Order: sequence, then structure tokens, then C-alpha cells
Amino acid sequence: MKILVTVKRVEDPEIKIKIKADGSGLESEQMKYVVNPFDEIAVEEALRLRDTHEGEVVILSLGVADCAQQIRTALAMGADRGVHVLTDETLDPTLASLAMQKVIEDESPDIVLMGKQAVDDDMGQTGVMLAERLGWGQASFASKEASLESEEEKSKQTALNVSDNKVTVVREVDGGIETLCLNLPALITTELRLNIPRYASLPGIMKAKKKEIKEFPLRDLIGDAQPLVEVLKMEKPAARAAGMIVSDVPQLMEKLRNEAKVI
Amino acid sequence: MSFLGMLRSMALNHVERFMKRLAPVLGERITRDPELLASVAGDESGLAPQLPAAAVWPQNRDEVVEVAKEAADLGMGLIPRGAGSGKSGAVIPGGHEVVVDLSKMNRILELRPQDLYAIVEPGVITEVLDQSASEEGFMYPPDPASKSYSTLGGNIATNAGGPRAVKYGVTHRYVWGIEMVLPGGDVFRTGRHSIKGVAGYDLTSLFVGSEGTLGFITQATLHIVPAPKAVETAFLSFPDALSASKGAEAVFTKGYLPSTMELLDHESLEAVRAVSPFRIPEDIGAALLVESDGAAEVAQQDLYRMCEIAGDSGASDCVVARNEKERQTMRRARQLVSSSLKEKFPLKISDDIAVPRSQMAVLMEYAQAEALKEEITFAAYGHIGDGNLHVNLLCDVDDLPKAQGMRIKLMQKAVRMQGTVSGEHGIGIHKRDMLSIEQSQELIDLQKRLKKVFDPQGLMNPNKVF
Ligand SMILES: Cc1cc2nc3c(=O)[nH]c(=O)nc-3n(C[C@H](O)[C@H](O)[C@H](O)COP(=O)(O)OP(=O)(O)OC[C@H]3O[C@@H](n4cnc5c(N)ncnc54)[C@H](O)[C@@H]3O)c2cc1C
Repeated sequence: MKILVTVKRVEDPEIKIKIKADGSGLESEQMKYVVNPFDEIAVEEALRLRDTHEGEVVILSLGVADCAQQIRTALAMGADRGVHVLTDETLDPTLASLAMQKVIEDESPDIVLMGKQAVDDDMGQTGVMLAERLGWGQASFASKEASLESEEEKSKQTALNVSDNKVTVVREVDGGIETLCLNLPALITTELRLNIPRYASLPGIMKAKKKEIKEFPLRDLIGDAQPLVEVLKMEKPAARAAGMIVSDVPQLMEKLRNEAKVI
Repeated sequence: MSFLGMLRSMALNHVERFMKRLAPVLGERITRDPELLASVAGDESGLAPQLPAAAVWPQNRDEVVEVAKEAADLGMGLIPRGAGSGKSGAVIPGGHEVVVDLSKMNRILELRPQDLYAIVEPGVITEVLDQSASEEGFMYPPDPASKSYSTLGGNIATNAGGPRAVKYGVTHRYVWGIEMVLPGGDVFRTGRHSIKGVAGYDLTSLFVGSEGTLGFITQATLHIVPAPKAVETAFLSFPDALSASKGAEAVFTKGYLPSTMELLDHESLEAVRAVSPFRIPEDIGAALLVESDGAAEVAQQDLYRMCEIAGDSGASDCVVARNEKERQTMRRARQLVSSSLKEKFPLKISDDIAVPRSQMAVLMEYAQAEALKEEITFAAYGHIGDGNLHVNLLCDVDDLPKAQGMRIKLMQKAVRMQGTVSGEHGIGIHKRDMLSIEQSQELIDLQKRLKKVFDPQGLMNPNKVF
């Protein structure tokens, strides 16, 4: 079985972000980057599937040259090889899913696993659009019944069940659990509660260097397709005025009436 | 009245006069109140604190000048004090001195990334400068484990090092100039705001590591450097400390320069396990905390390569931090070793011998053999990349004489290996008797003569170092 996992390079949520002076995006100078946490979960699930059913795990990332770092991280976790679509452009979900479609048509995996969203822009659209482009069945927000402290999780069992060219996926819905069955090939996006991703192991690190990362320039894949969504401006929420402590109720009433003007 | 009694009352008179003269200048920031004096009576050396005759908290250079003038006039000893986090007893009074606590002089006066320097007052907390620099994309590299409370003045006066020293060097590399106040009140500025400079003697460097025995540092020009774009961190497990030392050595021999290479031996790991926010792997005998920094992909490639080399020389596994939060928890595990050992073994004796880096494994084997022979439990951790080992002897009261003997033997061994009795904590009073293990009497005398030039009355931090 061949599983393709998309991995996005995102700003480390622990680092304070700075918005560019003209509001066109984020300052990248002082930034540190990590693998999108939802994608780490997708990689983990893919490794478990591969270890149960054999086959290979291919990592796909779109972005700047430094994305190779995030691909290597996934390879050190145990994935088999990488594909890197190189670009300095900021991609909207339409362009990202288009580029992914091209790679996937070439790779023809049985399952595509993706994070349900990337923690940088929180768009949550790329997986959905990609399934549509491919014409595949999709299950979004894959989760599982067993808890993350369960024996099932500790023994690294896969939560996705593959047999007879089908995959069953559990997802949390309001007030209950829903189980879907999809024909392969299928696209699945992951929820936080799917698994606890592993660390890169020492043997994994020792092997990662020798694993192949194929590179394609973005425009070789998507020609001159244009984005449909443009980010006009980013800005920080306005700072809130400092709170104050009043000495008694009459003062509180006075402030509410004359300063806050709410009563 | 006996002669001694007479001396004592004269000293008392001096303190009273000192108080009277300075009260108009310092107001509430001069005291003889024993409760307040207790807060400046000790440090982190484990040696018994001792109340000074008085304490002052100057707020600016001119106030330090006034204090230095009056003290010289009355012949009162002076002890500069930062945060009191030192480990050598260098700020512990003999009893008759005035402690000059500089922690209120804590302003960053200028931060000039374009010229790669910052001008600071001595009481600025180490980490505060690093954080201010980092907002501009820069860093102040010296990062002693005490950085969240130690002061830059204290760091300069002890030439402090930290995990990053293996790549970036210790404090002396970052001091471009200082403003000093000598007893009597003379003020001098040394150094420059340029990267280079060879005008006259390097008196800046003389003050670095001087442990408050020459004069007060009232300002410093400190070098800051561009922060690396990426940092990668790994926690490598080993079966024992010896194989960890050899793993570290292999990394260096292959030409890699990690930005951190810290050792934690079995005893250290067991002590820190309960309080560490990072889950220490079970059943490991030692660990290395390794970091690399630089451009994103380079930092990662270097780290992976170093892990590989360590793997080839005995590492059993590793955990690579996946984000800044995990990195901080790993660093925290290392930072908490000293205090968690102290918690477990209140009588621990801690030293900081250093040897040429490649001799680390030899030193480790020697220490293990000695400890076995003397039946003393010990922990070893620290800056293995600098050849700087914190050997902690974890004693019962009964062990103390034996431990003292072992301590001396370890220092003698370090010196025989062309190393030092103190890599970073300084001599203070804790190692005053051990200075002669490393230095000849002639060299010690030369330094005493030098001190006389700055401090002819012998008022600055009396009876420390020599
Ligand atoms: C948990 C812990 C971890 C530590 N880790 C490290 C480490 O990794 N590396 C390391 O090098 N050290 C370490 N230390 C030791 C200590 O923190 C350093 O020596 C630090 O530099 C002392 O700074 P301070 O402000 O506390 O100085 P203090 O302890 O107050 O003073 C130290 C010396 O500096 C002199 N001094 C202070 N300010 C001035 C001034 N303005 N002018 C002239 N002289 C002055 C004092 O007279 C004294 O001699 C550690 C200590 C602890 C408790």
C-alpha cells in the first residue's frame, strides 16, 4: 500500500510572531518553523498503516527550499521518501491543492493523509479541494474511539481499518461517533485525537539522510494558474485598555455610566 | 578596654560615621538592619552566610562614587554584589565590610544592533539583555544556568559561561569596555564601541573574572551577535557517562561545533527526573543535550549528523525537540540538575574543574575510580563540550573529610592535565586554598601587586581569591 502524506512548514506556535509593517504577511526573519502539528499526526497514522500492511510512505511538501527540513523530520520519523514542490510564492488552497493533485496523479497512492488544517492560516480547505479535484471519496476530521491513554494507542495500532480495497474511518460528530467506509483511493484529514505522533528515533535519523527527496519547481506543475484568494492585510487585534479596580459600588456605577457609557 | 575591644569599637565608630555621611545621599537605601543585611549575607556556594557591617543599594554611578569615597576615607571594606548567585562565596562578608548591592542599577542604556553592542548597567539580569536583543533578531550569547536571576555585573566579575559557550565562548569574549569605580571614587572608562581596539593595556579583560577585588563595574559595553535562524535540539541517551563522553569527543573530532553539548550522568538524571518537565527516558545511564544552530536546513543536518556520530559511538537513542516548547523543556531538565541534586543531597560539595576537551573521558574515569575507592557517591554533569565538568560529591556528614580529600585530588588531576581548578565559578573563598594547586606563589604575588595599583588600601572584597 502506498500512502502519501502532506506536510506543511508552519511558524512555531511558541514563538512570538511579528506582522510585516505593510501588513502583507508575517515577518520571516526571526521566525522558527515546525511541522504543522496536524500533519505530524497524519505522518504517524501513515507509518502505522505501512507497518501493518507494508508498502511505503511518501511525504509531500510545498514551499521554500527550507521545507526540506520538515520533510527530513518526517523521514527521520520513518517515512520512506519525499517530494518537494519548490516555490517562494504564498499559495492559497486552490493553488496548493492543484499542485498536490499533479503530484498525486503521478504517484497514484492508495491513501492521501493530511492534517485537517494548518495552524498558520487555519484555512482548512486544502484537503477538501484536493479530494474534489481528484474525484476521490474523503473523510475529514478522522479520530478514534479509544483514548490517547489507551492500550490500543500505546501499542501503536492504526485507527484506520483497511481491507478489501476499502478504508473505514471514525469521526467525532455532535453527540456521538460516526463510522465511514470509503473506497480506495481515498483522502483522509486528521483530527488531534487520532494518535500521539512519535519522535524521530536514532536509527530513523541515521537513515533519513540517505532517503530521496525529489524536487519539482511549482510552475512546472501548475503552469500559470492564479490563486483565487488573496490575503489583503494582516493586523494585530487592537490592544485592550488596561482594567481597573474600583473601590466601591457607587464608583463602579459612576464609571459604567460616565466612562464606559453602558448604563 | 582590651586592644581587641578598642579595635572593635573603632570599627563600630567607622560604620556609624559611614552611615551618617551617606544617609543624606542614599536615604532608605543604606541600612544596618540585621533583617535587611541577612538578604545580602550569602550566596549559592553552600558556605555559611555572614552579616556585613552595613549594606547599600546605589541607584547610579555617582552614588557608587560617594560610597567608594567615604569607604576609602574610613578604611571600610567593600563587597560588590549582583544577585548573589555565585558559587564561590565571593560575596560572603567577613563581617566588617559594606555590601554594595548593584541590583538596582538595572537599566539597558542603549541597544545598538547595527554596531553589535549594548550598553548596560551592572544590575541588568542576564536573560533580560538576551531577550531585548532577541526582539531585534540578535542575542547575547553567555547563558549561565542561572541566567534568569544572575546579573551582568556578576557575570563579568566571574567570567561566566553557559551551555552556548562551546560555540560562542564565555563572557570575556563579549565585554568590549567597562566603566569602573575604584575605592576612593576615581572613575575610569576602558575599551571602546568598535569591534577592534589595541590602545594601551587591556584593562577591560583584567576586570573580567576579578570577583570584585579591583573595583566596581558600573557600566559595560557588551557585544551582541545576530541570532541564528534556526536551533535544533536533541536529547541523546547513553548506557553510561563514559560512553557519553566518548560520544561527545567523537562529534568534535569529526569537525562539528555544536552550539550546546551538555552531559548528565546517571545520578544527575535520577535527581532531576521527578522535577523535569521533559520526560527522561527510563533505564538510561547518561545523556547528552546537544544543539546545533544556523540556517534551517544546516542546523538540522548538523544535528542529525551529530546524532549519527554519537550513535556510532554508543548512543542508544535520541529525542529531537519538535518545537520551541519541547526544546525549552529539555533545556530546563539540564538547568534543574544542580538544584534537584541539592534537594536530594543537602551536603553536596560542588566543583567546576576543567580540562582540555579531549581529556574528558580520562577525567571521568579517574573520578569514577576515586569515588569507588573512597566510597563516595558522586554526580557529574555540565559543559562537557568545554571540558568543564561539575563534579558533585554527595556526602553524609561522616564523608566530609574523605570528600575534601577527593576534591583536592580531582583538582590536582585537572591541573596535571593542563586544566584548571575552576572553569567558571571562580575562586572566592571556596577555593582560596586551592589556587596554589594551579598557580605558582610568584604568579599569585604578581597578581597581589597588581591589585595594589587599583586598591592600595586593600578594601575591595578583602580576603577573597588570594
Ligand atoms: C543554579 C545555578 C547555576 C549556575 N550556573 C552557572 C553556569 O552555568 N555558568 C557559570 O559561569 N556560573 C553559573 N552559576 C554561578 C553564578 O550564577 C555566576 O557566577 C554568576 O555570574 C554570578 O552572578 P551574580 O549577579 O549572582 O553575582 P554575585 O554572586 O552577586 O557576585 C559574584 C562575584 O561578582 C562580583 N560582582 C558582582 N557584581 C559586580 C560589579 N558590578 N562590579 C564588580 N564586581 C561585581 C562579586 O563581588 C562576586 O565576586 C550558577 C549558579 C547557580 C546558583
